Amino acid sequence: MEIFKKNDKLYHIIDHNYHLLPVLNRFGINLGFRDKTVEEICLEHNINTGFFMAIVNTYHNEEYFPRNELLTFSPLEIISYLRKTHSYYFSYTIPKLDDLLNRLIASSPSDFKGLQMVDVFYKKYKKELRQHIDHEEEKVFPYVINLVKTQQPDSEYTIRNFEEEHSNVEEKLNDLKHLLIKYITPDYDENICNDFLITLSLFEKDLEDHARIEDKILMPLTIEIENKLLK
Amino acid sequence: MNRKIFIIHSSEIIRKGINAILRSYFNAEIIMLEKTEELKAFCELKGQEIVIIGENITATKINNYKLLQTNNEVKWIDFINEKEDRDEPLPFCKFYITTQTGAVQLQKMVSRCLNKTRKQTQNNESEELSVREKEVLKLVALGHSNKVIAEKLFISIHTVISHRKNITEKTGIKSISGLTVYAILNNLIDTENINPEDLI
Ligand SMILES: [Fe+2]
Ligand SMILES: [Fe+2]
Repeated sequence: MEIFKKNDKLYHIIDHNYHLLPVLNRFGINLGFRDKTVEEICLEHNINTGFFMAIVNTYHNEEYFPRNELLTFSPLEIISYLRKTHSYYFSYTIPKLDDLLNRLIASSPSDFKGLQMVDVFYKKYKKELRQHIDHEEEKVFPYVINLVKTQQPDSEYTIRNFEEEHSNVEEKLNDLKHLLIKYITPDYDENICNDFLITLSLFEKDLEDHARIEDKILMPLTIEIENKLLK
Repeated sequence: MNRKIFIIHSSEIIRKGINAILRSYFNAEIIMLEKTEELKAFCELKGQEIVIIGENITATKINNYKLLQTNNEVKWIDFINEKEDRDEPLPFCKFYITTQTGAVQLQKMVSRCLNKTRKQTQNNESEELSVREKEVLKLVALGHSNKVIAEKLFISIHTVISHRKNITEKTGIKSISGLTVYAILNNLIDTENINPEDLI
């Protein structure tokens, strides 16, 4: 397991794990960064280097989770990152999966029932994900932002209400993967199916990381603020 | 057993319309023909499950395909053109349709035609689950709670939970809708009378 340091060249990090490319974009970093180190680039973009490194390293290693360090960051910083991630899902990942699944179905000449069921399953999942993310964008994040900015506790709502409702949105992606890999053997285009499965797996991993930041960082941080305010 | 659905009609838009209605619902090859005579090219077929939707079927027409009927499981659906104005379906046809027939109705008819053989093959599929697990899975997919499942199968809730745990361990599928897809794919649920979209 490799932990990246702020003195590492950003090129070195991307070369090690190109799945981090979208993470850079969420921070507003674009390519063409020459031989600069992470720290130099963060300074240029006015990004908190410690926060950037923590996000990059937790994304890179599933086991790496410096909880105490993560808890030192501002909820506003975290929300901004989470929001960018949400919009990445809906502007890029989901349309890509839509397209691949449509092409996969079209590539199967036999109109096999299995793929149709997968399609129904996927569409329902998409709806659930939309609701989940809308709830966070419209209720949870504004609540936290308001709490931080006004330093006033809300009269009826606490973050614990949200915690109970916070459903697991990665589970069904995993089910979808199992269904496709283990139980469906029609005559579709295998390259499209591979693309679909790879995109799906990456999405699942991204969502896991995302949910971990919500549950284990944003949530306790907010609870801490609430407790302070209620004293 | 292989399945084929023949759509025989002189009108191209009717052929293609029926094809569009059926193709996403059945794991069967669909063959569109303009004239009944073209069916002769398929007389060599053996051991297949066949549904033939034909335009204005008559006893004489059907008699030309005895071999096809002896070697395969054939069901006929008569497409009655309105102008013919026939009240009763022919006795050898399982169903009849007109231009007034709805898409869902037609899907149900075809599904009923194909249903018998599906039930026979049911036991050979999804060997990875035990008989009891399949029963539990079926009820889970139909949306029943653990309590209801326990009552229906005369077992304790604890046993239901442990069956569900085993099902998930064996299949790797956790969500109820994922398990429902699994149940449909393995023909544990009769999708004849239930629209799978309502369950998933
Ligand atoms: Fe989220
Ligand atoms: Fe979430």
